[in-house]
Amino acid sequence: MHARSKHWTHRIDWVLLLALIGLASIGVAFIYSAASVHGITDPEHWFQHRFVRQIFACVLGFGFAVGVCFVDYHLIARWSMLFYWGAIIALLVVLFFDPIHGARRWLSLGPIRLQPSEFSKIATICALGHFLSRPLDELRLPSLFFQTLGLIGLPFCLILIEPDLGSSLVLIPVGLVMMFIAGIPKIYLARLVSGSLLVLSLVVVDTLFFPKLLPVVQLEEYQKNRLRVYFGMSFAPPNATQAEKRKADREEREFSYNVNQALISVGSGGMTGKGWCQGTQNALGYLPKPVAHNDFIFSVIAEEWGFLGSMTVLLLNGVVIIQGLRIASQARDRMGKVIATGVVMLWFSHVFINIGMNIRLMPVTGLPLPLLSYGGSSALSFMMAMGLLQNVKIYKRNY
Amino acid sequence: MNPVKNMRREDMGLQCLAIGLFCCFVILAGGLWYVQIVSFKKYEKYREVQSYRTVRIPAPRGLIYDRDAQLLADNEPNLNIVVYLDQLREDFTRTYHDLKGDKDLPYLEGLELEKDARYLTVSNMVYEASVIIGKPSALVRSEFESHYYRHRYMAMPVLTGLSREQMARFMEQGSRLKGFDLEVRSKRRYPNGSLAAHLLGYMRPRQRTSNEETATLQMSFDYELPDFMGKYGLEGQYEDELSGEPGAKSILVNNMIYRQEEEEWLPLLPGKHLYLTLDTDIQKAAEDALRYLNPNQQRRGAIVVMDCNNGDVLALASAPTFDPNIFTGFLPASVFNPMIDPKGSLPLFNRATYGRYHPGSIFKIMIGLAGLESGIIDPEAEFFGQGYFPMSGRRIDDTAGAGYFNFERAFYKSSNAYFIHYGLKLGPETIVDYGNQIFLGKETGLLPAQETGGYFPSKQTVRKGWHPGDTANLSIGQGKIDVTPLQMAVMTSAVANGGTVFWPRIVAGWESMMPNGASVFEPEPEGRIRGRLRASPQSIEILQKAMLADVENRNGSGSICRIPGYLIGGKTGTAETSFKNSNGRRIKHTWFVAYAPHKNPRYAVVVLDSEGLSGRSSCAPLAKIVFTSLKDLPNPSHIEPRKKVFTLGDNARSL
Repeated sequence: MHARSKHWTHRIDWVLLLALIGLASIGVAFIYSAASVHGITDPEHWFQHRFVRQIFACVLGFGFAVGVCFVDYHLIARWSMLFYWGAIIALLVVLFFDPIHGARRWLSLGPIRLQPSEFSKIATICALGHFLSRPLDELRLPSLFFQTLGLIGLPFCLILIEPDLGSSLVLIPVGLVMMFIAGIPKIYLARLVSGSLLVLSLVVVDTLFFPKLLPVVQLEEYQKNRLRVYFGMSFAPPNATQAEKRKADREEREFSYNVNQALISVGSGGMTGKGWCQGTQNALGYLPKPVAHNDFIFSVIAEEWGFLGSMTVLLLNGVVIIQGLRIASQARDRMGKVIATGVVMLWFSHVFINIGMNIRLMPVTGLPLPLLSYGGSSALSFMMAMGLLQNVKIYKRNY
Repeated sequence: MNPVKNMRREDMGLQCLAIGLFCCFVILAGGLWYVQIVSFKKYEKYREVQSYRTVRIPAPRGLIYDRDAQLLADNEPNLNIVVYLDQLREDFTRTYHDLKGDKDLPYLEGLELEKDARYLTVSNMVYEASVIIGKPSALVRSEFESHYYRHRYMAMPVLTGLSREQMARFMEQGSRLKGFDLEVRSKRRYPNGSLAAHLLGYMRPRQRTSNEETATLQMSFDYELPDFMGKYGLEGQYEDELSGEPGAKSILVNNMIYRQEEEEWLPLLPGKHLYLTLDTDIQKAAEDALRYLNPNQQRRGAIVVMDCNNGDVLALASAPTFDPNIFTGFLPASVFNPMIDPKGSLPLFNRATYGRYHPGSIFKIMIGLAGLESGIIDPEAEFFGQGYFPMSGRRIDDTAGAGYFNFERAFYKSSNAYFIHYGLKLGPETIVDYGNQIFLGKETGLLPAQETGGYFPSKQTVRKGWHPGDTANLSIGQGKIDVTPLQMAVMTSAVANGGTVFWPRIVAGWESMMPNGASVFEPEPEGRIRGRLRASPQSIEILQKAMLADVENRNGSGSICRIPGYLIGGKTGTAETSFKNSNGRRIKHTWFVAYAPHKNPRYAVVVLDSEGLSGRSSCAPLAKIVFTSLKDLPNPSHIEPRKKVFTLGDNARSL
């Protein structure tokens, strides 16, 4: 391979690698913390512990990432449409499985469960990178713009109907930024952004103020409720009876419970936190068990390591993003740049939305925090995404 | 196309992106700073409130001793079996699944079934426990549910008031019952039953709503371990000192409100032991005296015995009486309501300090003193009494009959005519002045807020709208004058000791236990002087001789009280009231006040029968009983706490 002709060690982004190892270690440590103190019956075998599975996932993901690095991203891009359609099929297949926790997100393959939506994001990034790497003149064509939208819209819709609102929405900033960096005329993007903002605000206003009047978009009830919690709206319709109001209030309490508890966890961490495995919010079960180790892992970290811990997490993610942007700026061609930017944007969106939801900056969505949240598919796919980033760096001087 | 220019333009895009992402990170960091640093206290408070429950632990209550360190109020262990619900969670689940079987239940029905499962689990175990200890008992469902919903982090008492035998059985066989434990709580006990019940008072279960601690300690408790509080008498008066300061523990609870961990962070401060000036033997004698002649019929009266040299109260008895022990247990309304029925005998009413009575002839002591001191009465001068006193068209009866009276004869025959005659000569202002010298109409301060000052006219009152008839009545202790037996004891003491008016004292001192096991005794000041009678020793001597004659003279009204070889000075009193008893006869307040020994006065004794026949027949015999037991007693000793043998009762007081 060409890559090995030069000092391969010079081609690896060591800073990025260290940041990733740091994040993965913190993730494993706090998944251990989140699971160890529950007092739930210990699993039968050592490898059934969550943190062990997370280590597996990370190591496996790292292996994949290394594998990805051996293949020039141009080759990957050439096959990207295949991955893309494979992902689309997987997303379709998922819909035929029995729902778990009310959503059809998982492909059950024997002992392991895969979440195709995680992989489809990377496939979409590759496909977009490949698709947008055509000459700039072509990018000015409206038809191409709409084809791009279609490319993003297909997985978006499929993920939306799983339903997994968070994962599907992540595709929007990722796609927009990739189109922007690729050179799609800004006028199109501006129209797209303002249009989608309009739709979004319509949805929000519709959900919050006219729940029955104008059914513009039929959101799931729990999604509506999350929005209501975020905007601090009462669940009860304005002309509700006393009983309805009470029922709605109760629902509201139950619904805002996770958010409030996450906020209490983060807030009560203070400057230095209570120490690893010393947090009470999670140990006493105030942070709901099903989400403490994945969606709300950040509140466990913030409670036990305090502000310093959350800054560490933020800093490591910042390093990943800065290195990613540098790789993007040094990429040898527009395809590398667009792919790198897409990966950075995907990473960033996850971080921002997840941490934001822990401190009530964002409504609750089920987005994992890269490498920190428990979840094999997510760890695998983010590791692979990082492999892609490295790939762009490794092969930048190959022509 | 110029690729370089192109690149630059594209780099611009990346720069914009970088700036945008950086801003987002700053927003996140700012948000985290705001939540974790700025709002730390707020969220920490939230966390504490939701995950901690504060529990009040009552301190062992101080004991009450008499002057010889004999126990008047004790704490005894109360054994309960409690169940820790947090240890039964798995059993709840198991029972639930047993009940449910394979059915699929709608959400609400499932909740109901969970309720049933919990109750069933615990009630079965309670049944087992009750079989073990041999005490039939059932778990009341409503009590269980209320405990479960409100305080499931606390152990729930399920079998209370165990005997030692039952406790032994439980300790032997009950250990296999999961979550069950033995708990010792303390309960007030009055070993002498009704002895000095009015003075000691009684205890009632502490109400959750009482906020005395909350006001001072600035804290509120989520749960208060059952406790009693003094409601009456000394228990009520010195509630704060006796109860000590409660400790507090925090219970860390999980999101199911089950107990996770406990931490005791506020050590309790045991209550102080109270030493009284009371003498159990004298108190017994006084109460026996009140039961004299008619042990079954409820005499309504009081006896006060006071050390006339320092005002220490040696006995304070009121009849009828009650057993304060019944108040610490379950008190049915059928028992309690008759006690507070205004038409009944009012056993809770402390007649010695709260009763207001006309003094009748015993007030002649003060009239005599005023007359002697002002020179208006010449003790040797003879006065002719007609057998009545003509007063503006009506006659005031005089049981002394007609004849010539010098002071002593008029005193021991209790001549109304004589004292009205001189009373009118003294004038109301002088009489009021002498009444004020013994602080009539004012409380004695013995039991603040638990006594009455009675009534005594002021100088303003007698200056306006006051008739000579009123003065005549006042001169023989009738009409506009109400006194308490305690006030009369102060008066009698003052006359006996040569003119010193003391603040009566019941609290001899407080013994506080130090953490190292040592104890510190803080005595209350002894013999606090409130005032002095404005009377020369000669006047007092004449008066004392007249009082001696009242008992020693064969014709004296108090001669029934005579004890050979023990000289007693006394005065009887019989005051008619406007009230009528059930027989249609006017109720008479009858008195006998006395001191002894005459040469070196030591004790002042006041006997009141609020529905007697006369001071001579109703009260003097009771005083004789009291004096008979007093005369053989050694002089009142100095009060100090003695070394006590610690019994189980003492050790078991801590929880």
